[in-house]
Amino acid sequence: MKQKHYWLMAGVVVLATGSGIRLAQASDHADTQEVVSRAGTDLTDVYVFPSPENSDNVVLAMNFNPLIPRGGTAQFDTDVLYQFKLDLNADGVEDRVIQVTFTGSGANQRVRVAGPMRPNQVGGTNTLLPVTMNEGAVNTTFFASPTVKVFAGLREDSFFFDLEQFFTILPDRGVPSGLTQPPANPNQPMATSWRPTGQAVDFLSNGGFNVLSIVIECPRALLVN
Amino acid sequence: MKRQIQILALGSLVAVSMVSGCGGSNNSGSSANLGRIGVWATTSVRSGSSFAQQDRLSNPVVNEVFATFANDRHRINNLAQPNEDVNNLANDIQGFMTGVAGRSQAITDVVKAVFAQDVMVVDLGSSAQTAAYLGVQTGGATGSTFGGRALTDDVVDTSLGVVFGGTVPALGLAPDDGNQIPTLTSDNVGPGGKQFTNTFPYLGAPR
Repeated sequence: MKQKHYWLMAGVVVLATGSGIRLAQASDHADTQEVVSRAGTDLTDVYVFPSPENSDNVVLAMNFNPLIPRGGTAQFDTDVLYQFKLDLNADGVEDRVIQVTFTGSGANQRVRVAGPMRPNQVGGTNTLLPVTMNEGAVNTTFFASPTVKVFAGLREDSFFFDLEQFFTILPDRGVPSGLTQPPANPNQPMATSWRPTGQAVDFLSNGGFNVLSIVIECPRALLVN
Repeated sequence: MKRQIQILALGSLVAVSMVSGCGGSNNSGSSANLGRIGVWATTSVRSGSSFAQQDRLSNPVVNEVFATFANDRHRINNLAQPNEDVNNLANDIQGFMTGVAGRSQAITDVVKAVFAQDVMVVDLGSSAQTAAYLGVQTGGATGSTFGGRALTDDVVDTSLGVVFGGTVPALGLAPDDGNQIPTLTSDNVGPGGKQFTNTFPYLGAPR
């Protein structure tokens, strides 16, 4: 989970504690940090695991656009490029990438997937690879190719964590929300323990928050071809 | 000298995973052999015909715990590449581990070797049927030699065990420094509130 995630959640904590700030306003207030202002860029979690359906396959998942309220929806940002980057030789530089982009608006949005392929460029500035596979609809499982299964859509936020106690322990991490005051030492813990079982709260489940997810399943060997 | 220590620590981690029998690292960068890979995700915003990185994420709760909001540390790490972590994120880890957590330099060096570079290590050659966070680096001690991250992995508790608990000494990667803080090693929240499934796309349906 990213710090922006925490920060936005802090806005929701303010809401939940009765400040009267509405969620949309809390999100707008986040404009002071460029990444937070663009929820579609805000990565919250990454997963890689063997497919429960076929152990020859591997599943890659990323979540972003946090704090979509219960029952709510969100559109994919069509000006954002989403990438899984794969380093095959442990030098911290990507050797293959999977690129995901979105087109259209509303319920008719489409998702395009390219890769895994060698990137045009490595590092922080990238260009699009040619899309040679099938595109599909958002919120619907489809096969981009006979072996590449794709889902991009709304899911529950899969992260579980006692956020409020984290901010109590390290107030620096909640400062941008205004929820906590900047401590003299940003790394000085202000509490000595987590809350016990029964008092600890899974903030995201408790609040019913959702995210946008990209899930790709493909043969393990495809990642290193 | 600092980098030399990190390499030594990483070497011991690799040795642990090799002893456990999982696949070795693929050093060619182009082989089709199923071996160890590093994975991370980025988001980039369109600027003309190219896209500029805005966010980067791999191992959970690394940047957000070790790096402060103060001094722009989060943003700097988000815009960096994994091969730059040794000069950025590694310094955040150093400060947090020896300061806040009060851990020994030996334990700190192991943590730096594991997380900077910040990539999720996956052994595609592992026959394990499930993932386990930090599974490659710990030789399967966290539950599986596949590594990666399963949906139900309690990554917060795993990380807290590394930072505040006895995980690193228990793996024999550094001497016990006697500075564990047991009250900080679990947030006492588990995956029970989630709706994960065994069928694609595995993540729970929206609330």
